[in-house]
Amino acid sequence: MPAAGATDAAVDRLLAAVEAYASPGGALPGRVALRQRCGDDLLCAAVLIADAFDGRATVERVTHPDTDTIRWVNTRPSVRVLGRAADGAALIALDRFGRKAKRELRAALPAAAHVVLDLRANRGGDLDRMLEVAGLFTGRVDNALYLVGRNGRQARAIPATGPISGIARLTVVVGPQTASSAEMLAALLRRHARAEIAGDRTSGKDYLVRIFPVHHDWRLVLPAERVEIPGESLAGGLRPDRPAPELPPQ
Amino acid sequence: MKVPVRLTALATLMAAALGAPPAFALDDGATAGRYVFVPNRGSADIAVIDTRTDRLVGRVNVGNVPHQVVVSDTLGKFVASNTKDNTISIVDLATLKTGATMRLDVEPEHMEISPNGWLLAVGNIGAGTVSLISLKENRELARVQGLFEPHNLTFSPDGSLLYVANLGANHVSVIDVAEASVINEIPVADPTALAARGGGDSAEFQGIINVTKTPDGRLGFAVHGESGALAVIDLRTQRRIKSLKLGHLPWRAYATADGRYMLVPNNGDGTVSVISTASLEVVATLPGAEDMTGVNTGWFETTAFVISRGEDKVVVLDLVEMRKVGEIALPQSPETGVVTPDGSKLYIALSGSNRVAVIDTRARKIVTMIEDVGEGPWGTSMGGGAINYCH
Repeated sequence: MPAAGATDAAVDRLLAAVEAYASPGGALPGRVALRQRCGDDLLCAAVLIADAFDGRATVERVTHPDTDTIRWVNTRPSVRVLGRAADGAALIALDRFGRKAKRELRAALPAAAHVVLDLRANRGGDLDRMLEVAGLFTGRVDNALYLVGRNGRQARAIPATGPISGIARLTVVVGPQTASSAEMLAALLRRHARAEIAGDRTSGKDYLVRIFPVHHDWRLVLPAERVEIPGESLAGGLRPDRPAPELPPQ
Repeated sequence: MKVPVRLTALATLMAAALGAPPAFALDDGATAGRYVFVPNRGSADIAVIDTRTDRLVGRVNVGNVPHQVVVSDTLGKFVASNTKDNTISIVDLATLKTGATMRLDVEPEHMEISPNGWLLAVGNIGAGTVSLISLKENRELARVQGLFEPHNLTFSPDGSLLYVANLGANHVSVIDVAEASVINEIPVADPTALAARGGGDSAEFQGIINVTKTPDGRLGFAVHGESGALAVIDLRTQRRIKSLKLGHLPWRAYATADGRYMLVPNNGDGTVSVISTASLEVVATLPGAEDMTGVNTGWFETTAFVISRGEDKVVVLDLVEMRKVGEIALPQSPETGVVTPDGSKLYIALSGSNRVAVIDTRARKIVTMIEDVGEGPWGTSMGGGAINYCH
C-alpha cells in the first residue's frame, strides 16, 4: 500500500517557526544546507538546528498520553500534603504544575495562618499554570513579569484566581532542584504576597523554552524568551532569605 | 451472554405472526437514524438501541476496547474502531454481520466518513498516521505519515481535503485525499512555551482535539487547549480567517444543528464560551462544570446540554436567553451523547454504571435509563444526519 511522508516543505515550515520564536547562540542552518544534508528528514533537520543553540537545545522523545489522560480521567497529582509543623504551620509540597495544580492546591490549603509551600522538587512547567497558582496567593497583579525575546518585551499578569483569605504568613522553601517556573513562582510570591524564601539557592533557569513538534515521537525544545521579574534576579539562582526549616524528607 | 443477531425482514414478520418476541432487523439505511450505537469498552461489543422504544435490541461483537462508531447511511454500514487490537470492524446495517475486520496502525481511535459516504478516514493516534479506507471495497487505500497524535478528522465539503486535529502539536494538518499526503500545516497557536528543565511532561499537554465544522461544511473551528486559542479556518481554501482567545484550557467546539453557534467548554475555568458563526465573536460566557467531555443541543436548538464527567451531571443552558437554567444529575461517569435527528431526545453513555440515560430535550429531564447496555459504554452514535462526536 502506498505510504506518504513529509515533504521538504515541512523542513521549511520548521525552520520558519524556529526563526520566529527562538534565540540561538549561533547562526541557524539555512534551508539549502538543511535540504542538502537531510532531504525531507525532519528529525535530521531538528538535530542540526539544535546544534546552533550552544547546548541549550534538545531533541526529546515525546511521552504520549493514554486515552484516560487525554480525557482528564488520569492526572498525576501536583500537590502533597505533608502535615503540620510544630508551630501549626501547614506544610504543602507543590511538586509540579500539572493540569489540575491550581485546583489541587486550592483544595489542599487549609484554614491556617501560616503556610509553608515546599518547591524543592519542582523543576518547573507551564508558565500559565504557574501564574494561576501564584494568583491563589496574590490576587491579580498586572505587569508581574516580562518576556523578553525576538518579539520584544511582553508583560504578563497574574490572574485573579485568589487571593485565598486567612493566610497571614507564607514561607516558600526552595533548593537547587527548584527550577524555572518554580523559582519564578517563589520570586513572585516574595514580591507580591510578602512570602519569605527559605532554603538553598535555586537552579537559575530564567528563560522559557518553546516546543516544536518534529515527528510523532520527537520534538525540538529550544530556548526562547528570557523572563524578568521586576525587583528580583533569577540569573544565577534565586537567593533565599534564610535557611530551610525542618521539613519531612522528600 | 452475547447473542449474535442476524435476522431478515421475513423472519421479523414470522416472529410477529407467531407471537414471539419481536425480532430485530435494521432493514435499510433510511432507518439508520432510528438506532443508537453504543461501543462498550469492557465487553468488546456494540449495543444497538431502538429510539422508538428505548430498548436494547441487539449486540454486535467487535474487537477489544471499541472507541467510536461511525455510520455510513449511503452504504448501509457502520464501523467500530478497536483501539486495543489496532483494528476496525465494518458491519452491515441490514444484517448486523461483520463484513470485514481490518488491521490498521497503532491505536485506531477516531474516524470520519467522507461526504459521499464511501471513504473512511481513521486516525491511528499511537502511530501518528491516518488510514484512508474504501468502504465499498473494505480495503485500506493509503496510510498517511507525518501527523502528531492525530485525534479527530474533518473532510472539506467536497471531500478532497482532510483536516487533521493534532493532539500533540499546535497546528492542523491538511491532507490531500487524492495524493494521500500532508500538503499544509495551519498554525492555531504559537509553539507551546514552558518554563521548565527540559521539555516538561508532554503527556498532559493538550493540543488540538477537533476541527469542528459548521453544518454547511464551510468553516472549521479548531481549539488549542494549552494556549486557549481558537482558529476559524475556511475549509474550502485552507485559510485561517480569524483567531480568538477563549477561556482557560478549552476542550473543543461543538456545533448547533442550525449552524448559529459553536459552544466550547473551558475545562480550566469551568465556563462555556458561545461563539456566533456569523460574527465570529464570543457572544456569551456561561457557567459550566468540571471536566466537561461533551455538548449536545436540541429542541430546535434552544437548549444545550453540557456533559460533566467530573461532577456526574449535565449543565443545562438556555440558548435563547443565554443563561444556565438547571442541572441534571447523572450517576457514574457520563461520557458523550447524541441527539436524535429530530432534536427531541439525547442519549448519554454512563460508563461507570453500564447504562444509557435518555433525556427529553424539551422537558430537560431524564425520561428513562436503559440498563445493562454493556461493560463500560463509552459513547453514543446515530446515522440519519445526527451530529456525532467522540471524546
